[in-house]
Amino acid sequence: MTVQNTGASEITVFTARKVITMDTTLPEATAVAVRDGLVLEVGSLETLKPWLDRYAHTVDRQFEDKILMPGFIDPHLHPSMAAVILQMEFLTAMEWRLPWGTVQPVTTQDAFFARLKELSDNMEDPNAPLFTWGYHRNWHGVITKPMIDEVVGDRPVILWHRSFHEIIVNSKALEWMEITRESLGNHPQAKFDDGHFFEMGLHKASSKLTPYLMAPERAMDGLNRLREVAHFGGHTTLGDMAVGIFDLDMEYAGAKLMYDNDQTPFRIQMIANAMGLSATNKSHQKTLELIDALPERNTHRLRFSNHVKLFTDGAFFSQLMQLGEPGYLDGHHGEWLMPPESFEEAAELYWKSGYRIHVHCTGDMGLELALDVLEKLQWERPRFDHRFTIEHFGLSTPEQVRRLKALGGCVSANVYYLHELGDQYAEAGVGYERASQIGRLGTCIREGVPTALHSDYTMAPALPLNNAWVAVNRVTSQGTVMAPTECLSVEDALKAITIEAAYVMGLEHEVGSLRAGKKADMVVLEQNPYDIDPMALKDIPIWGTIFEGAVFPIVKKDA
Amino acid sequence: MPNHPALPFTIIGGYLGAGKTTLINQMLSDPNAPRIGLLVNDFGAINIDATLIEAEDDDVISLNNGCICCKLTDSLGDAVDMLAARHAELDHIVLEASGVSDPTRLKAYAHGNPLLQPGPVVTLVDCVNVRTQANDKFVKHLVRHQIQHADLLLLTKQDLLDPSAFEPVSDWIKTLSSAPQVRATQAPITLLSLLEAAWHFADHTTEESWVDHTHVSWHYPATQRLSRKMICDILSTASSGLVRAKGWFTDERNALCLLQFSQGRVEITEATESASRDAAARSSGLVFLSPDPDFDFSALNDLLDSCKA
Repeated sequence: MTVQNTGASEITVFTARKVITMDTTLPEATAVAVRDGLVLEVGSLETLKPWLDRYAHTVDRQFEDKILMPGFIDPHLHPSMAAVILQMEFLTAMEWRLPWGTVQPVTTQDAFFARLKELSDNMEDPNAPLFTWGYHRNWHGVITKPMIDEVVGDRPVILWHRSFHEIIVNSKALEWMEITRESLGNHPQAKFDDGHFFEMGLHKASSKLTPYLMAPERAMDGLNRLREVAHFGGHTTLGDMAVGIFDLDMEYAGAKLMYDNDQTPFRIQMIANAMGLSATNKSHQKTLELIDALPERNTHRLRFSNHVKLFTDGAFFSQLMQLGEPGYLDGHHGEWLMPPESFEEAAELYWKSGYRIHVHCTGDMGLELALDVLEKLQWERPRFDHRFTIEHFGLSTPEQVRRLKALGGCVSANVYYLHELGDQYAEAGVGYERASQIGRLGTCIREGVPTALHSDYTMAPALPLNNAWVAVNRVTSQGTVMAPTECLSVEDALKAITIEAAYVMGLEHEVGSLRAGKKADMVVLEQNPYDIDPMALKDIPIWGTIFEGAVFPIVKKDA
Repeated sequence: MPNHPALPFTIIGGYLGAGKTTLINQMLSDPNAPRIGLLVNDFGAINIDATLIEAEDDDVISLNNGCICCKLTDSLGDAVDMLAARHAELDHIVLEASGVSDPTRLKAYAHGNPLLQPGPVVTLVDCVNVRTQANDKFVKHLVRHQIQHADLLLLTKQDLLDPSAFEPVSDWIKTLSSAPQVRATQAPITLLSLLEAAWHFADHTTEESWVDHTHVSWHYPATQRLSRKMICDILSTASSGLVRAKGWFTDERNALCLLQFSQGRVEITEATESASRDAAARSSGLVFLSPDPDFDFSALNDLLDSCKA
């Protein structure tokens, strides 16, 4: 047969040791034919012949000894928040693998100060402020201003807490921020002598620091770093799961400027933060009208759709999730981010307007509220295929998972909570039984609940294979295996970072698996995740990605 | 720069439906309200008569009765600081806590600003629904916490309750908190009287004798000149039913006077020139507080009317 000239672009065929398609009908292949950013067909050079005989093509054999998978999808992170944290040096109790080097865990105070001094010594500008992120009292002990002064006294030092809700600074930083003893008065949560600002007191410092960190050149540098981070993790699709977390127009403008171009190897699905927007738009109805109009702003890489974000209970890292009986070990109570009645009112409005609702739920009582409301909405106005998704899914009960299934809901989980906080929350949070059952994902799979994994970066590293590793092994940072009955199979964990992640965002017809007609988005792995020890899942080297047919190698950098 | 005293800072909290917005709407439409810097959660819910608005932008509305209304957006702390910086134009700062916030945590903002004087937390309690809310699986802890940590409880929606049902609700609230309970009986409660009551009790919360009573407050506009001596006489005779009175009036010689009545003692002081200006801007009026829920304010009203000089 002769090659036809139809004016279509040339076909590229990527061959591989194995193509893991995440498509159950044709799970494995050895070649993927791509044209104009789409998969023409998955199979082998043999089965692709009908295409190759008809059209001009090249066979790209550079991945012949590698594994191709659909590009990873993180359905829940916040680029604008990450852009702030990524300007800081990571000084953390956990290992953080970043494109520009791996941050080794620092788990003692001596090591913390040694690393702080090293970071300062390595800075070129002697006056530039040094921001670090990751301090945590449980690991690094109590640190105060004079202690930092002794280690780094000549430049402003700002230690940002792991949870992001507190900072400790040195004397130079107080000077730099123009904060005096008088200006703090006797604020119970802003201590001049300790250099410690927390909760309500944080704004005393953040009102000076935020304009600095949000200055266009720094914020854009942060967004640029996030692009590298996302690529490094093997992502080809991200979900910005609360656009409008600071300022919708500013976030959109930043994303458009930084990401809407061919240097960006991923697309971003943008899900509006209906809670935040309703605070500035006076009513849920007006917010709905604004959100209805957002898809007019869609570009090739940045897309709004009929998905919306709501919230129930407080932050998991701050132990502000709402718990059912018997509550917290110390008897404190969590918080609601929206009054339950307001949540219900907003959920009803978006449900009846045909939106797919994502609900931030961290504790089992937060989940209970989401389920009660979903049940009521199903009674009043039944819907199929509504993708009502529980985001984060920290604590839950088995009965709630069953109920979620009955109501047709989905889960998008931050299972890394178990790894970083499992031991700690057993000791000083909720006790062993419930702490060990953080991220009840095995039950979700057994009940047939569509289950995805996300990072909520920087709540977890933006490394899908690392999150899959936690879901498969349920190993904490202390090496404890917790609730092995809730472990996922490698296959279910890989689905959770590909096709199921696409599904919760309503993108499963376009991405998340490799088959004819889908986007040619792939991640190139050096090892087959099915052939290795599951404990090595997180260490599979990622060669790079393919986004809509264009190859993006990960450039190795010196630490 | 003149040395202004620190601005009192009061927090008004309470769960959804307790009447915070109603209270705020009443205050904003009151031409005699003190000049209040008000931090509200939701501009959309408050009704501001367009004729009262002097200036308006996205986050701040200035009213012609001297109030400044400020919306809470990202940083509550920044909004508090912004209002505190305008302390020369204001008499008081009131923060409307969101229905799900812990008002006691919000107190920290006042501690952090030398221009502010940290004050009481007033929790509004919806008499009709509070017992249901206090057993609701989602908000029971929150609603109880808001009551337990109040310096003053304002019981609302009593008019929607069967009269015989009020005492049991009031008693039940006392099992959670010994904070004084205030309810408006005759007239709707004014913000001025509420703030007076709140500050009064915040200063005296240790005085056992005042605890365990349901207090009612009442505002007398004092628009005409009043005789000093007659006011003294009235308060001395009526004192068994009144625990406190405070406010500004004009005496028979047209001098502006500050009335303070507390623990059976009447004190009337003539205002200094600068205080006169402040008080003139602040509006006149007297606030009375009684522990007796059936106190006959209408009789007091008649008595005060008869004091006209």
